[in-house]
Amino acid sequence: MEESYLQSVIRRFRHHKAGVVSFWIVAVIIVLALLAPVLAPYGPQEITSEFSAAPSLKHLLGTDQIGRDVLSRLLYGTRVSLFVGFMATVISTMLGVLLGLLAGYVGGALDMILMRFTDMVMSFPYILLILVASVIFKPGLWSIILIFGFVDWPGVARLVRGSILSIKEQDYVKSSQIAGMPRSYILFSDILPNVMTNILVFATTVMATSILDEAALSFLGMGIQPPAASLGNMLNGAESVTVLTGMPWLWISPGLVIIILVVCVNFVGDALRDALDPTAVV
Amino acid sequence: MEQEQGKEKEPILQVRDLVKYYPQANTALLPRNRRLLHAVDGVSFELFQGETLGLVGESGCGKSTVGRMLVGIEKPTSGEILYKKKDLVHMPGGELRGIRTELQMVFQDSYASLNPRKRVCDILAAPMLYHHMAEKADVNRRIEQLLEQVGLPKNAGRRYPYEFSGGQRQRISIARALSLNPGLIVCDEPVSALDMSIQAQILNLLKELQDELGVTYLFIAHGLGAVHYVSQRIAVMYLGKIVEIGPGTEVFRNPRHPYAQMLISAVPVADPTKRTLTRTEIEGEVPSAVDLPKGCRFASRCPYATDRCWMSEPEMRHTEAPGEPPHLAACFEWERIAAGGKEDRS
Repeated sequence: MEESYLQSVIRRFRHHKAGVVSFWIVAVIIVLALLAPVLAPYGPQEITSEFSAAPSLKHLLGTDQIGRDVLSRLLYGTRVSLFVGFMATVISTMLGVLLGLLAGYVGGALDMILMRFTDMVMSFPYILLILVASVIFKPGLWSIILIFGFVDWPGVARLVRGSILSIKEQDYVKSSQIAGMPRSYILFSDILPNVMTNILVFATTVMATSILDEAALSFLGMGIQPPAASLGNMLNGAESVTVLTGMPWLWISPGLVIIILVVCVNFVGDALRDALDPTAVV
Repeated sequence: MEQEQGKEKEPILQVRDLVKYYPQANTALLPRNRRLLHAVDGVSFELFQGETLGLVGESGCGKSTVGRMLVGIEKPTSGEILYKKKDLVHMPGGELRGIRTELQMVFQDSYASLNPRKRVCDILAAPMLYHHMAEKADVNRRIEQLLEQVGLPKNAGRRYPYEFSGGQRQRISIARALSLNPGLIVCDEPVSALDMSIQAQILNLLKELQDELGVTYLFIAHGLGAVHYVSQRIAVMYLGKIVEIGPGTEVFRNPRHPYAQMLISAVPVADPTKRTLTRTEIEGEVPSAVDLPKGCRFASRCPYATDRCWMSEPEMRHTEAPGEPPHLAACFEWERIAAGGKEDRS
């Protein structure tokens, strides 16, 4: 009769219909992106004999102006965008958790310094910072990941710090202190597991915004550099009015994938928040 | 019998002139100019092995702060806490570690006092393993024993705190406090958040455990009903000071301090035929703990206050008859009040 924590999380996750559907959509997209080398009918940079062709049986999503197959580029591009989103989220979350933990648990002067630094990073114009950084560092896959990683952490840091400040005053933390438990136990066994939910849920929104930011940066030409494909630089073609009106197959599919990914990742985050809270009645 | 106990035994805990001031934020730019909130202002009492001292008073009188200072989650501004004759306030950290665990606490909110992410057995096991009170091999047996001791099924350890009711969670909190073989448990309003019927069960459990294990309680509450039921002695706090301390039945039947008298008259009596004591209404406002009056702190609400009460602050003085157990009160007019109380009942 008794269920483990994981089982109850899965049960509660299933109650969130949109979350379940989103989860499977994201899973399918990830699998498709991972299997791009197998599934793609052409190479991502391969130039076929047809230029600016509308979707047909031979090219399911058409081809671009220089004759590359849009479906193949879309699969490879999704791969790049997901990788950027995921890695940027991992880096910024780790940074944010570390700095938030230090600020919230150690407190005092360190807290002051860290939080003012966080405010500084947060108040800096986002796109400008990324543009400047991408000019200084050679634009490329890893430089973009690192830029996002170092720009996205303040939100996580604030969240972690705030949660720790409130959890630190909880009676169960006081109980551990009274029981003479060491600081490391209190931090990693009492406090961190209770912040974890918030971190995980926040990470899903970071991932969604990272995907969007990559798209925006690549659209501006500062992101993933052609000829490599990403969802963002595939949209780049829509800068011209002729493409926008005359060749919608070039931008509709990457645009749709971005929208679907972002919406679904956010829904999964929502469902996770409900599922991970053991006290939520579902 | 109580007095024999008190005379024979060494106190397990002695609290001397315990003070806790909180600097008021935003009252001044420089910390040294900040005004102070006198949360606990010179509290002294003793606790004897195996007894229960009830500590009562209204919200904000400092009773919880006293409890929190005893268990070390609040640092006293000054004063001494001697547990088994060792000063917990000034003891170096290393030595403190061993003895601190002998003072445990049960909180009011049983929900907030158990980590929601951990199973009950993990909550109970961690401190015992860390302090080598149990070895890995037999910790489960010890947990089962603790759970049975507090009246929970043996297998309750496999579940999470949220799966239990308020009363059951409070039993888990008690089991956790017991796990480190404490000499003293501070119960900070342990039943205030529970239903009446559950309250009685928890109070009985605390009493049974005391008989069984000889553990000492400081029982903090704002109502006298529960306190009277479990305590051998009662201390009444008002605005950071103890104003009366004595044997429970005596404080209840014949309160010396007007504030204690008012608290007792506010306790509802179930049997209408026993409602004898005339109700004394508490009027007026509690003075601010930041701007304390010069004289008696209770003068502004006291129907017996005289000029002397406004001018100087009464000390704690013995009020018991010769040969009786000690009963102290901080009131100039206690004789008049005690006599008045008796007349009311006749």
